[in-house]
Amino acid sequence: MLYKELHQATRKFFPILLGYILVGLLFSTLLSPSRTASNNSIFHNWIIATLFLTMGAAILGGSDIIAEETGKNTLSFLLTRPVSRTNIYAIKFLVSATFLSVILLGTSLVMFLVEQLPQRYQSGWTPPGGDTVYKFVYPDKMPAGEAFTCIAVILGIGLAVLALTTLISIFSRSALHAIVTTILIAFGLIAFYAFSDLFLQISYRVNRVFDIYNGLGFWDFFVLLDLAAVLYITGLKIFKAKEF
Amino acid sequence: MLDFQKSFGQKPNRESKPVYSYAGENPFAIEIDRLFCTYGPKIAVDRLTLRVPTGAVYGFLGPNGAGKTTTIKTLLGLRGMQGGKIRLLNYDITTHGLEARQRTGYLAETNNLYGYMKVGEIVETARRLSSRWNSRTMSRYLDLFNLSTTQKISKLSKGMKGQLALALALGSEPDLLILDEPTSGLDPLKRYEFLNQIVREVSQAGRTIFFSSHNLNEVEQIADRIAIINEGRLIVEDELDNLKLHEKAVKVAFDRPVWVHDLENIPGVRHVMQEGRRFRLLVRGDAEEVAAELEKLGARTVELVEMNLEALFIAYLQGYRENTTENTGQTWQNEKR
Repeated sequence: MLYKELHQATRKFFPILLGYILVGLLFSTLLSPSRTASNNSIFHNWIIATLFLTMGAAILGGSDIIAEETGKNTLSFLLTRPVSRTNIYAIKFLVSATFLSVILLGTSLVMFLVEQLPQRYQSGWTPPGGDTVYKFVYPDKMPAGEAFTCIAVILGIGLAVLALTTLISIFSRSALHAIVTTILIAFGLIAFYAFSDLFLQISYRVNRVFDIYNGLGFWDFFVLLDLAAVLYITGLKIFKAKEF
Repeated sequence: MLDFQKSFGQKPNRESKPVYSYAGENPFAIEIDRLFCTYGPKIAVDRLTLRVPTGAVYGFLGPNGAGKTTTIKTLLGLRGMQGGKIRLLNYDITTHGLEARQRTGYLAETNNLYGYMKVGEIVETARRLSSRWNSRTMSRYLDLFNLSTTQKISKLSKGMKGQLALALALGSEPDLLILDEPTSGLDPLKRYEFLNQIVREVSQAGRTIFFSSHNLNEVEQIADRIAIINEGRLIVEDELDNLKLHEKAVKVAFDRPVWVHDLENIPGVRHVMQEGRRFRLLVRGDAEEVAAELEKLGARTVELVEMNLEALFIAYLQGYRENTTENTGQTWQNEKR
C-alpha cells in the first residue's frame, strides 16, 4: 500500500516541486530585487507566493487521491485486497501530506538561507560599463522565528486544504471535478478568512503595512491542524461507509 | 457433518480464526443468508440465500440488473448490505472481512489495474498487500501468460490485461476465486483460452470458483453448479447436470386450438412457452409421461428436446416473469374488488 502510494505521489508531486523551485528562483532573482518598497525581502515575497502555491499544491495533490481511482475503477484493486479502508485512506492522505510538508519546508528553508547570504551573492547584475540593474536596496530580513511561524501557519492551511480536497475527492469521479469543487469551497473560505483575524494577521505580517506581529503565533498552526484533523476524520468516516 | 443452521444462529465469532479448523472441512465456501441490498428505494437483492460448495465451479447467472454485481460487490465488502448475513470461507464478512479477503482472489469485470505502472511494479504492489503471497507461483503465471515485468500495463492488450489480473488474483493462492464477467470484451478464441486457463489453474487445485457471466456457453463449458437470479431473487439453484437431467423440453403441435392452462395442468410441466403455432413445455421429471399425456390431448407432433443451458435460462426467466406478472395482475384485481 505504502509502496504504491509513494510510487504514485512521486509522480504527482514532482511537478509541484518543480513549481516551488521555479517560483523560488523567480523570487530570489528577478522579482525580489526589482521591488523598491520596504516589503521586498526575498522571504516576504516567498511567503506571499507560497501561501497560494501551497493551497494550489494541496488542491492538486488531494483532488485525485480517491477520485481518480474511482473514475478509473482501480479502487477495487485495493478494496478487494486484505487491507482495511482506514489504512487505505490514512496512507493515501499521509503520503500526500508528507510530500506537501517536505516540499514546503524544504524550499522555504532554502529560501531563508538564500536570504541570509550577503547581498552580493543574492542577485544583482551589472552590465559591462553600466550600473547595477538589480540589487537589494533595502535588505529587510525577516527574523527566523517569525519567518517559520508564517511558514508553519501556511503549512497548516495547506494540510487543512489537503484534508478538504481529499474529502471532496471521495464524492468525485474525476480529479478535475474535485479540483473545481475545492476551488469553489476555497474561495468561500478565503472570503471568510478575509474578515477574520488570521488572514489580517498574515497580511499585516507579510506586507509590513502595520506594525508587525499582531498576535500571529505558532499556536495558529495547531488550530489549523485541528481543522485538518476534523476534515480528515469526517472524510475517513465517509470513505468507510461509501459504496464503490 | 457440520451443522450450519446452528452456526448461523450464533453470535458473530470475534476470534480471528474460523469456526472450523480449516477450509477443507467446510462444505461451503460461500454462504449467503437472506441477503438484502438496496439502492435508495430500489431493491437490488431481495433476501437471497445461496450456498456455494467448496471446490465447486459455480456459475452465477441472471439478466442485466438482476443483482449479480451487487451480490459480488457485497461479498467482497465493496458495498454494505441492508440485511442478511454472508460467510466467506467460514468468516463472517461483517466482522472478519480482512481475513476472508486474505484468502479470496477477485477478477473484476472491468480492468482495474494501474495503467501507469509496469507489470513488475503492480506485482510488487499486490505482493505487499498480501501476507499469503507466493512469488514462485506468480513467476510461473507470468511465464505462462508470456508477461514481462518490464512491460507497461497501459501498453498491454485487453487479453493480456485480463491474464495479468488473473495472475495477480492467483498470486496469493486464494481458496476462493470470484470472477465478475471475466471474459467480457474478449474475442471467442481468447475467451476459450482464458477460461481453459482458469479451470486448469484453479479448479484442479481444489479451489472454489464463483463467477458471473452473460455468456451461457462459457458457463456451460466450465460450471458444475449454477444459480439463476432475477430482480434480486433466486429462481433456481442446482448442479448443472441435475438441471439437465430433470429439466426436459417437449415441443408439441396441435391441429386444434388448445388452452395453455390445460398444458400447464399436466403433471410435471413447469412452464409453457408458445412458439408460433407450437408449444415448448419445460418439464421436470419424466418427459415421456408428459408426451403420453399430450398425445391423449390430441397432439399432432410431440418431440423430446435436449435442454442446453441457454434454453434452461430462458425458460426459467420467462417462467419467473410470467408468474410475477400473473401475481401482480391478481393483486391488482383483488385491490379493484
